[in-house]
Amino acid sequence: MDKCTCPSCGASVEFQSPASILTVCEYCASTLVRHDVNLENIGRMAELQVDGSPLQLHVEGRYQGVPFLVVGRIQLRYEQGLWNEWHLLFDDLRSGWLGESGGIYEVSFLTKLDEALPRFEDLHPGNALVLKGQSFAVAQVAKAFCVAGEGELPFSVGPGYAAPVVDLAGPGNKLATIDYSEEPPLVFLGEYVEFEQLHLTGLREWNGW
Amino acid sequence: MAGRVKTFKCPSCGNSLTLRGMEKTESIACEACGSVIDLTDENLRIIATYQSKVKHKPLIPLGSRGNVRGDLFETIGYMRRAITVEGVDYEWGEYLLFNPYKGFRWLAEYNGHWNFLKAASNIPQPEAEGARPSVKYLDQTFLQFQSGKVRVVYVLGEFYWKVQAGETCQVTDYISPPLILSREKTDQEVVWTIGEYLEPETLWSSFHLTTPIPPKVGVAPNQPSPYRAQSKSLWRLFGTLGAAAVLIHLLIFLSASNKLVYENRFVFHQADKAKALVTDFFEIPGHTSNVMVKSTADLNDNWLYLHLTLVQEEGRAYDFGREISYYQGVEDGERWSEGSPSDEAVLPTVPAGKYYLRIEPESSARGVNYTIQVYRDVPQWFFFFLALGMLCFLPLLLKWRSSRFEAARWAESDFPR
Repeated sequence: MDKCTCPSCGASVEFQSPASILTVCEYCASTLVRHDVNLENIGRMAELQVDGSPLQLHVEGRYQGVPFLVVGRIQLRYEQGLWNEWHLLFDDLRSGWLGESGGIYEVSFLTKLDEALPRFEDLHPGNALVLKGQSFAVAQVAKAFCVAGEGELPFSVGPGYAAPVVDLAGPGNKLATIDYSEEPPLVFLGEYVEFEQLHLTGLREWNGW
Repeated sequence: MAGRVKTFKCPSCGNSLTLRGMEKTESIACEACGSVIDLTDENLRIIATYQSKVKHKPLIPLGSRGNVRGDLFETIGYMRRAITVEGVDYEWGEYLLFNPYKGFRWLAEYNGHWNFLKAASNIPQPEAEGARPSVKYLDQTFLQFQSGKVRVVYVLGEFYWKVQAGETCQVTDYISPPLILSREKTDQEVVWTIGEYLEPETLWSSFHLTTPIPPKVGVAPNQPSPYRAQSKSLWRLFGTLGAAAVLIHLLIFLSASNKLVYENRFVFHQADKAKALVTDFFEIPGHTSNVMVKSTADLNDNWLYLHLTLVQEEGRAYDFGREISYYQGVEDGERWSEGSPSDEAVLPTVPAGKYYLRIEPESSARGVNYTIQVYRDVPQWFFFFLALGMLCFLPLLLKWRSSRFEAARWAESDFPR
């Protein structure tokens, strides 16, 4: 765990995950990138859009028996609406992602693949793809873009950051997402989970719910 | 949409509207004037103003909350959709439910039948094609039921997309009662939903509704057969009772004394015609039970009629007549026979005591030799088969009703059985 101060407002800034390289100051919304011991302010982070998500920073939960903490979030805009990727820091220091929108939840992990991936342009809904020995089918090809971020993130993002993504459905509840915003593309393997399975605490609360 | 208001006035009629679906709502149909408003537009653009002459009132009012399958939901939107099959319009209601943690669900109602639906978490895979197409979802086979072009005919309240009366999609339903899988295809996407049949009573109590429950009409595609669960327990009961019947009869058979208490040989002469003869007294022992009188005659192409009376010492009498006839021959090289040279008559409840038999024989033969044997307490199959037959009746009735139920279900399908 790293403690620094925000070069913009002087508030204390904490990196909880060793994987994080970026954090958004909770007080002044400055986007701070970590360079060894220095923090570089790359500008004010855009405002997140109100999306009615029940999740927020500092929410705790459990996945497959391992407790995690929500340390960051990227808000993305797809054609169908807003989608959140919550950055999870697990007790065993793994980084994971909790994708969430409109009551749909999925947990995925960055996975290193040996095989080469098709180009973004060559993938269309229905295409079959084998990832880590499992067969997947392309469910959606989308040019999403980042609306804003908060908390700490393992890569540098900002508003308008384009995220060409391919969503794939695998056997059972399995899913995969290929993020073509980097070269080579990032592959996330995971599964759909039910809300109850995550044992979330510290969620947003609404009167009457 | 940042900081969007929770309450605003309908730009068409000025009615005050409250947002229930929080930030997820993209369009809202005013409950007062029916105008559909685009909420993603800053100026609250009106998508449609006029949708229907008829105003529909949802059975579950918008804004009510109720627990469905363990989760609290609020009804935020209502729409009516329709399909035209062979020139006939079929219309049903769909309620959009919302929970900020669980997201969206649907309640669909048609002819008093209810389904609780949600988005399928993975894509069902095609399994069989042809005469009976099916898909596999979470290791379960769903049979294709019907397919058609479904249109929205009426909307009320909030939706997470820009809903409009008139929008259409191609819907294909697959069933595995009590579950239903629906595939909705538009030009843009394919959406699968999975639903479960719900008893309306559970909805009425969880949404605290006091209105009358619309009665169920016909059989819904995924309505669980009421006979199926019943038939399982009934066959189990049948098995148990059947085994008990076998056991009881086995015990009766084993304990039956089957004792020969009288036996004698007689000769009938045409000269003795219409003359009765009387046997000596014989003892019928044991507890009150049955008595079997077996008559055997040496007959060939003839008959013997015996008018028998079993008379007790104290005067109680059992009167009965038996006819023995036996014919045989060879015709076209094949041997045939008709009747039997012997006969058994059972008197069901005869108390112990001293008895004699009065015999009045008749025959067209000149002379007949015959034997009469009296047995006490013989085992009888009749009651066993009677018991078994009665036991069979209910399961068979149930099976018949169950197959009628399935026939009614599939009669509405594109693949009638």
